[in-house]
Amino acid sequence: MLFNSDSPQMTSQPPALARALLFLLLAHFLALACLGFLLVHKHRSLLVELAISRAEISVSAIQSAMATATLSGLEVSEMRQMQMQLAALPGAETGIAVAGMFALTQTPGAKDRTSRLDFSTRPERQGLALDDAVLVPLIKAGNRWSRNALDLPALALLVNDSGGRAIGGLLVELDPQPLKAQASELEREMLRQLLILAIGSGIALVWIFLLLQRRQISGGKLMALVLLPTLLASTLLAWQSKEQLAGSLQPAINAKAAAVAETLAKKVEYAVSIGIPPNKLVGTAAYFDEVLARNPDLAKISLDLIAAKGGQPGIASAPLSEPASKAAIHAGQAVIGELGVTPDQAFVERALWAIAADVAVVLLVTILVFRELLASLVAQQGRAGEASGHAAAQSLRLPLFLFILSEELTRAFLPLFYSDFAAGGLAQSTAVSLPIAVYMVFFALTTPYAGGWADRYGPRRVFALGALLAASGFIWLALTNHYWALLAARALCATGYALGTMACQRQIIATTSGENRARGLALFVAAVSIAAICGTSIGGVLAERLGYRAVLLISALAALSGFVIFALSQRGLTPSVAPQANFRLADLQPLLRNRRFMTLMLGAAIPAKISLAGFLFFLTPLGLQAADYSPAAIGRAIMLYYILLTLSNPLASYLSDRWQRHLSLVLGGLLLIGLGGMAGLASSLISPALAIWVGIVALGLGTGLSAAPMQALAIELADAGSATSVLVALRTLERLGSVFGPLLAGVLLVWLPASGAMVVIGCFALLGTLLLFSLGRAHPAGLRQSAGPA
Amino acid sequence: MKRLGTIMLLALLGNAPNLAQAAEKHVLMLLYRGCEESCRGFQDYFRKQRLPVRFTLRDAAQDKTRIPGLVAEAKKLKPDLILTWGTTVTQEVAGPWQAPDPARHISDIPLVFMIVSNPLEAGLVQKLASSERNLTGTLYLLDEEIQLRAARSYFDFRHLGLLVNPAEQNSLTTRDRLRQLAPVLGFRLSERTFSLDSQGKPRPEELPQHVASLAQAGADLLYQSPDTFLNLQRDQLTGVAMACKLPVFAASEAPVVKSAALMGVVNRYSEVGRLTAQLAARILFENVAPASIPIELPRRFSFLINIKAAQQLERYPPLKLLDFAEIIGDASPIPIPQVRTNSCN
Repeated sequence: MLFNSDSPQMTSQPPALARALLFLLLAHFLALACLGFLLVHKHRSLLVELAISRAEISVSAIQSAMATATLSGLEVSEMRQMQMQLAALPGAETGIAVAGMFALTQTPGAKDRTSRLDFSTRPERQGLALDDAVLVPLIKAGNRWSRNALDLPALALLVNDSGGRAIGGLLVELDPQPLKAQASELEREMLRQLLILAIGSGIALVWIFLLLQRRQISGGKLMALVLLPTLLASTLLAWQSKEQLAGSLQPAINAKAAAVAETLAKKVEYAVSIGIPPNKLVGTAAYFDEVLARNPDLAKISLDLIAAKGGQPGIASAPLSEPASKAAIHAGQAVIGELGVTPDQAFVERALWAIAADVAVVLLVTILVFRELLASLVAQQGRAGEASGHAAAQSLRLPLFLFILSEELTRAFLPLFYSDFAAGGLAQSTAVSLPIAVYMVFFALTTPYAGGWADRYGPRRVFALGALLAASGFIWLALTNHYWALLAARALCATGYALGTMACQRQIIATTSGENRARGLALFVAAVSIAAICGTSIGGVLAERLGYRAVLLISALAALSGFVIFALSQRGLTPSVAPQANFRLADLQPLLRNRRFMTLMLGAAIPAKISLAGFLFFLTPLGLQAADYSPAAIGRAIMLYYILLTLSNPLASYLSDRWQRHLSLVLGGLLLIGLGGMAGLASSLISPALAIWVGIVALGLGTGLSAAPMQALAIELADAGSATSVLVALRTLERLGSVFGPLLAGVLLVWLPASGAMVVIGCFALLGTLLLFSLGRAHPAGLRQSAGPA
Repeated sequence: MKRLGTIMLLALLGNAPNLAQAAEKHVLMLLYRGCEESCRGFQDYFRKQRLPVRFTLRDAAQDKTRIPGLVAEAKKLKPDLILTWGTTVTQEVAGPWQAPDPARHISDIPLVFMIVSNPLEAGLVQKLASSERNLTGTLYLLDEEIQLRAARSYFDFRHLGLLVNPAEQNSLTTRDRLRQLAPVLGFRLSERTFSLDSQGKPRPEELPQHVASLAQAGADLLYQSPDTFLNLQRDQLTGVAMACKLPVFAASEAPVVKSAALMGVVNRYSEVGRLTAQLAARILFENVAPASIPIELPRRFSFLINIKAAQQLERYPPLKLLDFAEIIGDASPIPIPQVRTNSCN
């Protein structure tokens, strides 16, 4: 359904053909590179995670000793025994390079805690404060923090006193050299395979393309067949890398199993040392099960004790076929038993399955980008042939796509990014919602005027200004450390976005007429939704791998390249001088006094936007993060909204045209949105995350159902002024909801959990349906008129 | 001891340079039974944190009539903060929350209390989240539900025995709470109530038969509530229970540490003192209003296990419990024979 609105038609033209092939090959290599990157990144993160959890096993024993010592009144500086244990940690076996113990103190009157390394295996660090880059996230996390980075892996644990205050903790840095060596060895091997695969499948792609070209196959079939080599190569690559990753990670898993065996053996030794006879040990199975649950890379733990008095060896409880790490259990000088830990052979396989969703997203985005490229190529060819308006609109596709992509890339994680900033005097949730509201305000204020400016100064200039503003906003966001700068940067992004999209719209209107214009504008909508689907999903994946700030820079790059392509492709196009209905405040006034029109605004348009901005853009990322979703998974959730919207929108347009039941469709859509919000009530019954998913599905379908009929209904109810000015008024008024939504949700989160805020937002939509009912009842004629047969 | 047991403690003053400019604060400690573990834990905290505090200690020596004199003196001394120990002292110093009497009580100096069993019942505050007056403090008694859930992590008892001393309100409150919990946690509760003598005191000679009859009734754990009478009888109580192979759970420290109770889930007084000191430090040095500090328990409790009792009963703690329990008694593989001999009948 996504692909049949305007199927790319290829006509044979040698230079354009070469360019088409070049673009396709580029996208092909990009997709495989993305996949290779995902696999390499997974390998690195697993490697580091394993090393960190190996170190954590040794360190957490010292942490619990510190906690007990704290309970009996000892200060961190007095914990000499634990310092001695720390001093023994660094070594090749543990992978630890530096280990240290720090104290946290709160000087009277000061707001922040100060840290001091009381002990470090690097004596020159003793007495120094902890780096803020460690201390701030550690205190925020509350108990444990780790830096899963290959160049400087580190782990920190906190110790609290009985008042719940952190009084100190442990910090270990791992030796990155062996990890790096291991990573680069595997990556070289994988790169070689990737290159061979990419070139081989690239040749296949060229061959298939030329073959299809000769047979005049086009449209969706062309897409599918051309993509075939890319898909096959991706599958082959993923399958091959499984074995490699498993081989590379096995030593790390074994080392961790050995560490667990050692620690558990010590536990048993302690139990025996306090006077529990070895044959009377209680609760070992339950204890081992807990350890297994915490460590998915371990399969089995077995305890094998020699009978305490008889001296006969016990029966081995693990079959010897599996390689297990073993540790002897001592009582004084004598060995009284053995503890074995078996690593899980399927762990790597499971870890790879976990990135299957990411791989699917990469492939989906590849398909959509392929399509955008093909469409843009068709436009190029069209221009070379006859200068049709539709082709001119088509050539806008790619720059518009890139420009919108730049904003959507950040959708999955911006609220999470905001929450890393501290805002003086604001509640955390309000501080997160404010930048979203500011964005919406600037977007709403700029949009009505941007069209006029595009007419006066030319769309090229306005688009250039928009792209530059948006790009500078993203760069500022990526670099800043100050909360208030967030607001300013987002204002820039919003202004840029409004200018850019309106300039594109005006360019389409200026270069098209009649039938072409409708198709041009449909294309505009398609570019927006495809960019939203691609951007939210791939943005989440990238944010998880590269970090938020890197993705913000990529956004800036996307906005700028959108501008460059726009400047190149629109060169030499002479805009047809068409009179434009520009926004004037005066146009709004009769509409503001029109009670039926305003009922529609208050009952449908504004509540829908409250849900969109308050629930989807604000609550969804925060709520899903609280349910332990990664940015990539959050991106996929938001992507689902756009997919459902894109799928249900044409259906609603069709129904709306055929039945003329605008009001019923708007009512139904809004009811769906409101009921979706009510899923928050069931969040304790189902999971909070599932409640959010239900909300997203309802919002996507509800918005898709109601958007087109709402426009039609608005024009119908206004019965004054041009359709364009009514739509401008609709867009302007509904943005009140976009501004209000995040602010409301931010304030609600101060008192309520995310599910509660979701319910309140849903209530607005339900109240809206009541208002709409009154619209139907007060003016039955209106309803009957719109309910009549076409 | 003729006059009030007065000791002036010009404590500490560490020489941490960053605190040189912080002015020394004066804390008046009004005590009831001398400076015991929580009082020492309180002072200890300031010493360890190198906070410039001077303490003045006044002890009512368990005599309620002495307290008004202490209040009068406090008004004269004008300390920066007053610490009150126990329900009686705190009530006399702070007065009821509805209507404190400015002549008898203190409201213009921040008050911090500790070792008050129930500040709500004592009429000190209306709610624990905020006193809404110039007062805050700490709780120290753990709820029975927390205790029993913790005890379940040792072994899954099904039948709880309880000795009730009708002379102490504490004991009756515990009994009511356990009756409430029995269906919730799924255990049977058997009670044995002491009869009172002519002076209204429980008869200690009934103790062995009560314990033995609970054991015969099939109780698999004996709950020793935190009342004064049972605490005095703890050696005999745990001794008879041991002879009956009946493990004892204690709601206070002494039966585990000093007698033969198997386990106890408690807040140690020294830790309560340190937590209280933390609140006091926030009031003194961070200018936090007492009303904005909620009245809370320490976040962590101590799980005490008497390993000798465990050995004798052959009921050993599960491995997981050893991660956080405090083991009482040294490690000797052979149990030492009991000096006192108690029989179970």
